Amino acid sequence: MSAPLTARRWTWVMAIYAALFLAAFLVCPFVGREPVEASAQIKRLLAGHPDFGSILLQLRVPRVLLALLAGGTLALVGACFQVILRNPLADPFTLGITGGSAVGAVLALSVPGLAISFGPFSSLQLCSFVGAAISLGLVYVVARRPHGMSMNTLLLAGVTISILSAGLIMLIRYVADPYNLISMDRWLMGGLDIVGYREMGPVLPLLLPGLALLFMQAGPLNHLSLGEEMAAGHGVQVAQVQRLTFVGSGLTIAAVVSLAGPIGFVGLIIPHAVRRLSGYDQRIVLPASFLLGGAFLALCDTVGRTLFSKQEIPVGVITAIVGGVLFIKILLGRRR
Amino acid sequence: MNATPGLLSVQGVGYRYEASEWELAGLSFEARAGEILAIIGPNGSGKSTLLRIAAGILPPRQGKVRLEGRDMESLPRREVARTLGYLPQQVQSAFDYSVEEAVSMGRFPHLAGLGFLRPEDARIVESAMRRTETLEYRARSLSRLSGGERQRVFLASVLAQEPRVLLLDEPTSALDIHHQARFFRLLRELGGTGIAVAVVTHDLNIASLYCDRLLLLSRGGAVREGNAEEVLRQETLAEVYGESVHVDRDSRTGRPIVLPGLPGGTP
Ligand SMILES: Nc1ncnc2c1ncn2[C@@H]1O[C@H](COP(=O)(O)OP(=O)(O)OP(=O)(O)O)[C@@H](O)[C@H]1O
Ligand SMILES: [Mg+2]
Repeated sequence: MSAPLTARRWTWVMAIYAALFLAAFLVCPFVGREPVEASAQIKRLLAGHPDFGSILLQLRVPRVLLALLAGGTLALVGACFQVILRNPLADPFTLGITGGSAVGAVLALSVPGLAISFGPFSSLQLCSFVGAAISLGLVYVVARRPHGMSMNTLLLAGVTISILSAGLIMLIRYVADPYNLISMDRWLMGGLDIVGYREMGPVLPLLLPGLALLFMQAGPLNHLSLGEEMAAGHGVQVAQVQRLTFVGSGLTIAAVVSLAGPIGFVGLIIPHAVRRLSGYDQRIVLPASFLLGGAFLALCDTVGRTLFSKQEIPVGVITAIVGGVLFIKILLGRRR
Repeated sequence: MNATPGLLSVQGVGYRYEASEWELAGLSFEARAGEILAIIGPNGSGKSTLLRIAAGILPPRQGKVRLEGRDMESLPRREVARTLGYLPQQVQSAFDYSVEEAVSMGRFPHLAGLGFLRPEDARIVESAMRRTETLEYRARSLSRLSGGERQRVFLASVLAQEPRVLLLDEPTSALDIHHQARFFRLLRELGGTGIAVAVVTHDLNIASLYCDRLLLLSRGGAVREGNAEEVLRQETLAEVYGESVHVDRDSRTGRPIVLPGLPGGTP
């Protein structure tokens, strides 16, 4: 870890994280309250059984896919924010994106008139997306400078927007029909219970380019951890890297949150874990955070689905508890 | 030597920070191949601001910066960094990179794609570490170095850029007398290979002994530019620094040496 990164080491490390990601994708769909044995499934498939894979393909696989994408995105964006804000406690929600998104979602759930849908998007998804966009725009306008953005102001604006959103949500809940409170709470816990691929498809055109944009910043972000001046001295276009990271994070987080709600802790702890395991080079930290974050969320959701036989636990609850315990372990380990 | 055109030419630049009264007014200087220019002046006189503008990091409100005859603002940052190395006054790493990792970051402007080092880059990185005497800590992490050792690491990362123009903001502020002297000798060596150097320093004696020209700033303006003899004058310094100083001579070189006033105040 002390020698500069080589192509060889990069490939090795990526292969290991990718293997974890792939393992989660291959194993998690077969775990659940309804037994779906792999061998039985294959037999059914070969026999041309009409019932083949309805649970597996229509419920489990899309859900695991969403977990992999959402967990990966949250962890990747957390890793990026921790660098550009130079704050190890930053997470994808630091910039208030989730706050705005949650206001949108809660509004959609409480105002019946908002039950509009647009193309493949549900009104819930649409409103949370618009909420995210508004809060991002606000934060951007506040933090914008003649040349680039002020990262300190970005952080402060993000925290302010989060508090403001929390206030708005309380207000909406206060006046809302109590019947709707349950679904609001449910959304705010974050969950991955989608059915089929219909909801996931439309966000991919936002998610995938956003992810690509973020991965491309990995090299420059190494330099930004030495500060903006040193980065510029080394030849990094600082303002552009900050802007692209902001845009990429905004797109991907808005997309993920509109589908899965605010799932906490993944974006905070996974980058920390990766840096402990594999060093600080962002060319490793970014993609590895994505892969490990995806695997971690898929695993947490599998636990949430199967822990109790009567009821599912929202994955946001699991990540907060498991993540919190793991994080304390990491912090304790650091004292050595 | 004065006939050599400036590799870097700063022409009448001005700057004002947002919501600030302080102003840098119409400053010019040239960094010439083979020459070391010392930029001196009291705290807050604008040395770092001037260097940031010269490095193309802060766009000037007036004036122009030309790097090898080309307008700085029209050049891509990466291309600038292949020619010009800039060491900020303070570098703090948010993450605990190893020394070798930090130094190899200087190769960034020369590398494409994911930026893995080629064998020749690794050699350049190693030579930058050797010249700054950081090779022995190559595997250590930044947090386990002393302040001066860390300063030498970031200096090495700038040297690894292999720049033809070096702009250094107080590069030796945390260095002991050996590393300070060694570092300025290294600058002279680099000068010998045709590199232009501008270095901000508070050490007037080092500036006198090792630098070819001095630029004295005060309150955002140039007070005087010239060789040590011309700039390091008792009255000028006393006025600019607001502190009585005693200018003597180095018995070996005859260059001016600046000493502070005596503890009891000068008679
Ligand atoms: N980001 C900033 N915003 C507003 N004012 C600033 C900023 N940076 C510096 N200044 C002001 O500009 C003036 C010049 O600062 P500069 O950093 O160039 O001084 P300096 O000569 O390098 O001083 P020192 O010897 O202490 O490093 C100072 O009065 C300082 O307060
Ligand atoms: Mg300064």
